[in-house]
Amino acid sequence: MSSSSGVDLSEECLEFFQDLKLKKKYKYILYKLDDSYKSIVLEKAVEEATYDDFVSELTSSGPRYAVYDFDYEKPGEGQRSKIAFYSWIPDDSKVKDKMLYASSKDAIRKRLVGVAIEIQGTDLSEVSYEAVLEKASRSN
Amino acid sequence: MSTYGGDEVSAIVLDVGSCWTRAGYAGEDTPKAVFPTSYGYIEEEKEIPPDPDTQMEDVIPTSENKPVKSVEKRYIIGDTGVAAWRENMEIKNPLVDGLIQDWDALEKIWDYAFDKSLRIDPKEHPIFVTECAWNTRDIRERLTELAFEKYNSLAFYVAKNPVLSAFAAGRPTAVVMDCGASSTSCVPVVDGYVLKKGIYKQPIAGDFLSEQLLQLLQQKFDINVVPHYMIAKKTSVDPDQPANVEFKERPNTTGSYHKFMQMRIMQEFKESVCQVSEVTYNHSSINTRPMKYFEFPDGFNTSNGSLRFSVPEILFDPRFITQPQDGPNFDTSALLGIPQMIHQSIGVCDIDVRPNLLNNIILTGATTLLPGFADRVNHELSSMNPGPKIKLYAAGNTIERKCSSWLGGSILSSLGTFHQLWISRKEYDDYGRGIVEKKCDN
Repeated sequence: MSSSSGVDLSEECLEFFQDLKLKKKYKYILYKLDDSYKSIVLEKAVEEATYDDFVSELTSSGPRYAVYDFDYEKPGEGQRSKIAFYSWIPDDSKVKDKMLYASSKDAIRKRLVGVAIEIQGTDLSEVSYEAVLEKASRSN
Repeated sequence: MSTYGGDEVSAIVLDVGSCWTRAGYAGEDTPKAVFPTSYGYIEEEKEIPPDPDTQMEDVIPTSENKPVKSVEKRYIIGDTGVAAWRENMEIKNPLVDGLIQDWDALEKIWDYAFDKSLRIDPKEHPIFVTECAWNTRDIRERLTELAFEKYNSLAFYVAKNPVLSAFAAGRPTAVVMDCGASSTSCVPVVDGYVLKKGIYKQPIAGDFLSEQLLQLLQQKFDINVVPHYMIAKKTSVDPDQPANVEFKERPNTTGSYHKFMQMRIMQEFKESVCQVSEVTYNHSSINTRPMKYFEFPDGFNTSNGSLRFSVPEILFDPRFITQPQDGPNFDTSALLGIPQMIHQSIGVCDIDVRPNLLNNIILTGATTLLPGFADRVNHELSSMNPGPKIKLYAAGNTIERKCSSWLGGSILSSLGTFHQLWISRKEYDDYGRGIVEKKCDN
């Protein structure tokens, strides 16, 4: 079973993820649940953006899942890049949305092979550049 | 909002908690029915008529041939039922430590929920039930059996309270601190699964505080807590003056009923008077806090000072427990304060997941609604874990706080996609009750 809610993932979600991971075609991808709450679908894939652009886009609407190609400088070792996965479920969401997004996370997260950092975000501080950088530096 | 399969019947969600049972339809925001899990029963002796096939002349009149008497239990379920005084009615709770012990009574509770509260035929609905994190395999299998064998339900599912609470808070990974009536528990949930080794629980929660209050009021302040059912007439009296009350004739009242009704008053007392010290308990600063007034059902009224802080303090420091005058002492050495429970529960988890758990601590259960509760947990945890970020989540909405697992179950089981997760009648018939371990593996 893919997730606790039975919600599934549309195949196109994976295709876009592969393009971000292998071809570096996108900087970030946003996913959401479709209107019938049956599967996770692509909302948008963006080619060029800064981290601030991404965060403001992510946090401007309701709950989302997201993938961001996170670049950072590892002291003494140069430029690194890691794929970060976000479940963004802000505390002021409706309880139905919280339940749906939280219980369906595994449907997408388990299918995205190659994610190095996972962020569970409920407020801005948890998805800030510093918070993600800290996680990136801690993981290998 | 879109609706699912308008032609389908909705599931019934049942959450039998240690104090309250919540029952309602999947997809709704609040349970249709909330009634006490404690039930009343009266033992009635019934004579079994002699077997008509036995010829009288064959019977040698010995003491063994006297008419046989059997004791039958008459059950009384529901709020108005158990609270109303009846001669010889005992009050009991079918759960011990969150686990179902009394299956006959549980069936009566289900019957009551289906027939009286919701007025539905369980044959026509899927049934979704919640369970505590430490539920046993045998109990889950018996629940499955009950749903299919006795109630012939369409489908069945059982999910763990802390997982539902975590999802309802939008957090697949969290520590769920549940302080309800009978127990306080701390359960780490990671990606929607309970980490069993991290479960910490102890029987010090709302009911225990009520017992302590009752004991203290009687021992220390000589206040006899008289429940409503005993009172015929009362007149108002000045503060701290003895009650002026006429009693009702109440023959054959059981001790368990009297206690149950006293505990209800203590419940009210806690809700209107008690509070948790927001910072580490300090006797002299507590003494400067304003007193709070409470009027007992018999008209006696008084203002309460340090008591209203020192009793809830037990949750944070079990050394505040008042030992009983008669009977064995509580061993407080093995008990933990709530912040220590959270700390230890997180401490046994994998080091990688600890920061995420500390950052997602969910408070749920009615006792967490005591004013100052969340502030205090935050204060203590911050001083225990100076480095990492700590974030508590406590739903502002009291319904959400009291019924988070019911609500979570209601949303989950109303999803169209949840179909594939139910244990269907056919699966039960094919695989037997053991199927529950495989399908409900949260």
